[in-house]
Amino acid sequence: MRRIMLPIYALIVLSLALPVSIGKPVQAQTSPAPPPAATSSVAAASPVDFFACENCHEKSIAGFGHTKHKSVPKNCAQCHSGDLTQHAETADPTLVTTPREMSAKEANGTCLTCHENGQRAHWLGSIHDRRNVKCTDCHSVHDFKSTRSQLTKVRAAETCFSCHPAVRAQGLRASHHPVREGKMDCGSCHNPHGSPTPKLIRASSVNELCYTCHTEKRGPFLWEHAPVRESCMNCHQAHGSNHDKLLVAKQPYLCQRCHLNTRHPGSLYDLRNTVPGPNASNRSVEHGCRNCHQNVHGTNHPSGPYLGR
Amino acid sequence: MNRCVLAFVILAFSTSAFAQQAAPPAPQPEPAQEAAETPAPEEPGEPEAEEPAEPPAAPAIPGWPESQIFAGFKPGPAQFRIDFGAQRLTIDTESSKFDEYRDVPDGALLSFFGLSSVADQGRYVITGEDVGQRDVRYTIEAERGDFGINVVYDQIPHRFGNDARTLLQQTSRGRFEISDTLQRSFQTSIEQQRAISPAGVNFTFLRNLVSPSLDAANTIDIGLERKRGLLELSYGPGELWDWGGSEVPGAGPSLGSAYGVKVSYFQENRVGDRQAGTSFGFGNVVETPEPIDYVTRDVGISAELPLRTAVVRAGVSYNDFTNKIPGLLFDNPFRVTDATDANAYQSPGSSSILGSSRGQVALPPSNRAITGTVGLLMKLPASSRLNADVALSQWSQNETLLPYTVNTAITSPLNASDPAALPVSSFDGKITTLTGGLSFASRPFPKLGINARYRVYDMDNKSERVELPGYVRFDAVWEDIPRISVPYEYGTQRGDLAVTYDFGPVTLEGGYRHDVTNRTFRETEETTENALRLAADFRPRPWVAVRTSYERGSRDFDHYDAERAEHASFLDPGPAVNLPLLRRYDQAAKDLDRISALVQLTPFDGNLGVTLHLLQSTDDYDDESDFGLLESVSRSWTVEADYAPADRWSVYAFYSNESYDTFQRGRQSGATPSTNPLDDWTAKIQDDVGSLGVGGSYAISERTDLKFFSRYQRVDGNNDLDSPPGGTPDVAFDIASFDDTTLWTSSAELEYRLTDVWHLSVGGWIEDYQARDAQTTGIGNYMPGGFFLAPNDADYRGNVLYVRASYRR
Repeated sequence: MRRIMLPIYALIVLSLALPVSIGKPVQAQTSPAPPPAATSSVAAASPVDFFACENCHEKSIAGFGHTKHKSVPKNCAQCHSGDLTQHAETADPTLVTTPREMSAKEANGTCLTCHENGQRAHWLGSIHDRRNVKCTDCHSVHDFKSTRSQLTKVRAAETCFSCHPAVRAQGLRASHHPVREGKMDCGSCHNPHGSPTPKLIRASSVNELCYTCHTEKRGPFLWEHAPVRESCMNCHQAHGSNHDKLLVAKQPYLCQRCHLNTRHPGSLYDLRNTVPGPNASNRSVEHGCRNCHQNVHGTNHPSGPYLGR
Repeated sequence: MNRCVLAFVILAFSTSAFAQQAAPPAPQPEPAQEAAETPAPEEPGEPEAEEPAEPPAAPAIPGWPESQIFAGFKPGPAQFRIDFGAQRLTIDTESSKFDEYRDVPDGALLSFFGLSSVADQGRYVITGEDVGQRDVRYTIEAERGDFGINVVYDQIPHRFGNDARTLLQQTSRGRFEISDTLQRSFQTSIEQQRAISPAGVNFTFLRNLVSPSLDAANTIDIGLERKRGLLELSYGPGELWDWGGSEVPGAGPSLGSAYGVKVSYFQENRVGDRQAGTSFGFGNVVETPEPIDYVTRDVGISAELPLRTAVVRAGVSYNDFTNKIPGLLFDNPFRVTDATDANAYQSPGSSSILGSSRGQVALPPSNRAITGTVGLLMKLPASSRLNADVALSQWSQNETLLPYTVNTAITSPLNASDPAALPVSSFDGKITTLTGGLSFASRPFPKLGINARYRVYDMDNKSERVELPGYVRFDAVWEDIPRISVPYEYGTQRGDLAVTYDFGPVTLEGGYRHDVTNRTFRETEETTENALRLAADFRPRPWVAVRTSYERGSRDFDHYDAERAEHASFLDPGPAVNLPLLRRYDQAAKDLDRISALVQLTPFDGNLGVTLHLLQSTDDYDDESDFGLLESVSRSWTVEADYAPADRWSVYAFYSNESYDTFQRGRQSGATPSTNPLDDWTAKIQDDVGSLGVGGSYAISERTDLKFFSRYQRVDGNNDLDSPPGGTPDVAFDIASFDDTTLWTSSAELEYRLTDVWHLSVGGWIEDYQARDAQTTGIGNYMPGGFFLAPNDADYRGNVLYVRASYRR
C-alpha cells in the first residue's frame, strides 16, 4: 500500500501546486478550420443576422429555435465558419462549412469552445476523441429527436448501439438491466464524453458505480468475499447475460473456477444432478451454490465465514 | 514486443503510402439519418431555394415497443402533448418474465404527457410516462435566470417470479413461520421413521411427507419495486451541465460556462422480496422470500468554476443506506424443537435428524458513505489539456451483530444463542478509497496527438479484525474452529500512453498500457498487466468510415501462495483444502487479445447506411494455470443496414451473431485434495446467440403512416463435460439445455393524422419467450435436498392491442 500512497501524495501536491493560468488564452487553437474548398476571399466568420440565413434555411433554424444555441453571440457564424455574408448573397455552398465537412477534430473544436466543461472535461484524449467520433455523430443542433441532450435518436441507447451493436444484442438477454424498458440507458453507467476511469465509467471504480443502485452490497462486511470486493465484473456481465443475475457463467461452474476444495466444492455436477436427472442435487438445481451460500457478496453474521448465514 | 513494433512500423508505412494515393481531404459523411443539402438556386437572393429534405424518421430501435409508440417530445414554446387510449392484453401464463421491469396494463392508459415552454426569460419541460402504472416516470426541468431545477420521479418494478409456493408464511417483516402443528407432525413422523430405519429417512419419504401440505399451500408473487426521486437545484449564470458562454472581451468565445453550483437530493425506497437460498444443512435447503425494505438517500453539492485557462470542479456527497430488516428468521419445516449433534448439519437423514427449529441469516447491514472530489482542467498551449482528479471516500457500518445462532440447544462451549457470548457487539467496519488521476492530452502539431494517463485507486480496509472462538454451521452444530475476519484491501495503478498521427484520411494510434494491482490476504501480492495497442481510423471516402483496433497483452504475478489466502481467516490453520494447482482467474497469469473492427458505409447522400462490426476477445490462462478457468473467448459480428431513400419510407435490418466459449478444469477430491489426474473433469461451456431484427416505416398517404418491426433472438447454451475413466467421477454427462432461450417480438402501428393536433393510432405487438434449462426448468417445490419456491418466470406469449389518441399542440 505504501507504494501506491506515494504517487497519490505526489499527485495531490502536483495538482495543487500547478498555477491555474499558464500562457496566453487558448481560444485561437479551438477555432474551427476554414472551409477546405474556400475561395481566396474567404474571411473569418463574422456575425450574421438569422434573418439572412432563415430565407433559405428556415427549417434548420426552426429546428433549434427553441434551444440555447439560438442565443449564441455570433448566431450561425458561431459554428459555421466561412464568409456567411457572401454566402447569403450568392448562396454559394462552398463559402460556408458545416461540421459534416470538417474533420472530427475541427468539428469538435467548434463545440468545445463552449462545451468543454462539466461532463466533457475529459473529452480531449478520451477514447471517442481518439477514434474521431464527432459531436454531431450523436448530437444534433438543428434536428434532434430526444427530449434531453439533443440526440439524433429518440433514446440515448439507440445512439450508442449504432457503433456498439454487440451491446444491443447483449441487452436482449434473459437477465438484463432495464435498458430496453427505458429505465436506464448507457449514460446511467458510462460517460461517453470521457472519464478518468477505464471504460468511461461514471465513478472511481466499477464497484462504486454499481453501489449507486445496489447500495446494499457496499458493506463493509464482517466476512468479505475478496473477488467481490475487488470487482463486480469478476462474476457479472452488466450488459446482459443468459444466466441468472447477470452472471458470466452458471453456478456451480462459476464458483468452481476458484473453489475446488475437498468434498462438494470440487465435485463434478453434470446432467445426472439436474432437475430431470436421477441424482438431482441442491448444489446444481435452481441457484446452485447460492442455495446455501446465499450471502455471496459478504455477510455480517458471526457464523458466516462460508457466507451461508 | 519486437514483432508488435515491426507490425506497427509496417502498418504505418503502408498506410502512409495509401494515404498519399488517396484523394485530398474530403467532407466527412453525416450519419445516415440526416439527408444531404440540396444545391443552391442560380439566382442569388431568391428565397425559394429548397430546404434540406426532411430527414427520414429515424427507425425505431428494434425490440422496444415503447420506443415505437413514444416518438419523442422536443421542447418548444407553449408545447403540449398527451397520449391516451385503451389497451387489451392477453397472455397465456402468469410468467413474471413478461413484465419483469415494466407494467403492461389491460384497460385505459395514459402513456405520455408533455408540457413545455421556452422563452427568453426561462424554460420548463414537464413530462409524464405511463401515468398510473407501476413503472410511471415524471420529470420536471425548469430554468429561470440563473436558477435551475431538475426533478425526476421514477418507479421501477422488478418481478422475479409469480406463484411461488412455500409452507412458510410471513408473520412479521423478516419472520417466516410454519405452524407449530405442522412442524410437530413432520418432526414426529421423521422420528418414527428413523426409529424403524435410519436409511428410510430419505428423499422419497420426505417428499411423500411434505407434498400434501405443499400442494395446499398458498402461492405468492416475488418481486420488488424501486421508487426513486431526484431533486437538483442549480445556480449560476449558465446552465451548469450544458452551456454557458458570456464572452470575455478581446479573447473570443468564453471557455465554458460561468461558475455554477448544484445541490442534489436523491432518495430510493426499495420494497418487496426476492428469493433467498436459506438452508439448514446439506440436505435441507428451505428457500425463503428475503424481505427487502431499503431506503437509500444521497445528498450532494458540486460546483464548477471556469477560469481563464482552467476549470476547477469540486463536490461532496453523503450517502446513507438503511435496511429496516437486519435479519431473516425462518422456520425449519422438520423441527419444532431445538436440538444439536455433531451431524445435525446433514439433517434430516440417516446420520442425524436433529437441528434447529429456526434459522437466521443476516441481511445487508445499513451503511454510509461520504465522498469528496476535486478536479482541475488546465488548458495549455498547443491544444493541450491537463486533467487532475482526486476523490476520497469513506464507507462505514456499525450494525449490531446477530448471535452465533438462534438454536437454543447449543450451549457448549458457550451459550451460542446469547448475543452476550459474542466477543464484540457490533462490527466497526470502515473502508477508505482514494482515487487520483492525471491525464495529459496534446496536439503539439496538427497531425500529431499525444495522450498520457496515470491513475491510482487504493481501497484501504480499516475494519478491526474480529476473532471468534468458533461458529455455528447452519444453526445446527457448533464448530470449534477459531476464526478471524479478513479485511481485504487492494490498490491499482494504471499508466496509459497513446500516440496518434493523421495521415490524411488515415489516423493511426499506437498505445501502451501498464496495470499493477496490489492485494492483501490474497493468493498474490502483486499482479502486473501490460498491453500494446494499435488502432486505425480510415476515411478514404466521405461515405466510408473504418475503425479498427487490436490489443495484445499479458498479466503475470509475483508469487502465488494459495495457502496464504485460505489460512487468512483461521486462527489455527489446518492443512489446505483447495487444490494447490488451482489459479484463480482474477489473479492468474494470462495472455489477452482484443480485436475490433467497425465499417460504416453511407453512400447515396446518406440515404443508405451499412454497418459491419466485429469483436473478439480472448483470455488464455492455459500456459500458467492447470485448474480453474483456462480460456475464455468471446466473438461477435453484426451486419446492419438502414435505407431511407425518401420521406415516405424507410427500412432497416440487423443480424448479430455471438459466441461465448469458456474452458475450465476441476478435480474431484475426497477428504484431502486429490493428486490423481483421473479425478479431473473439464467443462467446455458455449453460448451461441443469434439476433435478428427488421423494421421500417411507410407513409401510406399524406396523413397515414405505418410503422413495424420484428426482432428475434435465440440463445443456445451447452455444457460439454468430460472426465477420464478410471477415477472419480469416472464419467460425465453433457448438459445440452443450458440456459437456452428464444425471444421474439413483433409490432405494428398505423397512425392517422386526423388534424394538425389530433393523431389516432391503432396497433399491437406480440411477444413470445421460451426458456429451457436443465437446472431450473420443471423444478418442483420439493426436490432432493430441499424446498424451492419454484416461481413462474419462464415461458409466455403475450398479445397487446391498443388504440391511442394523441393531442399535440
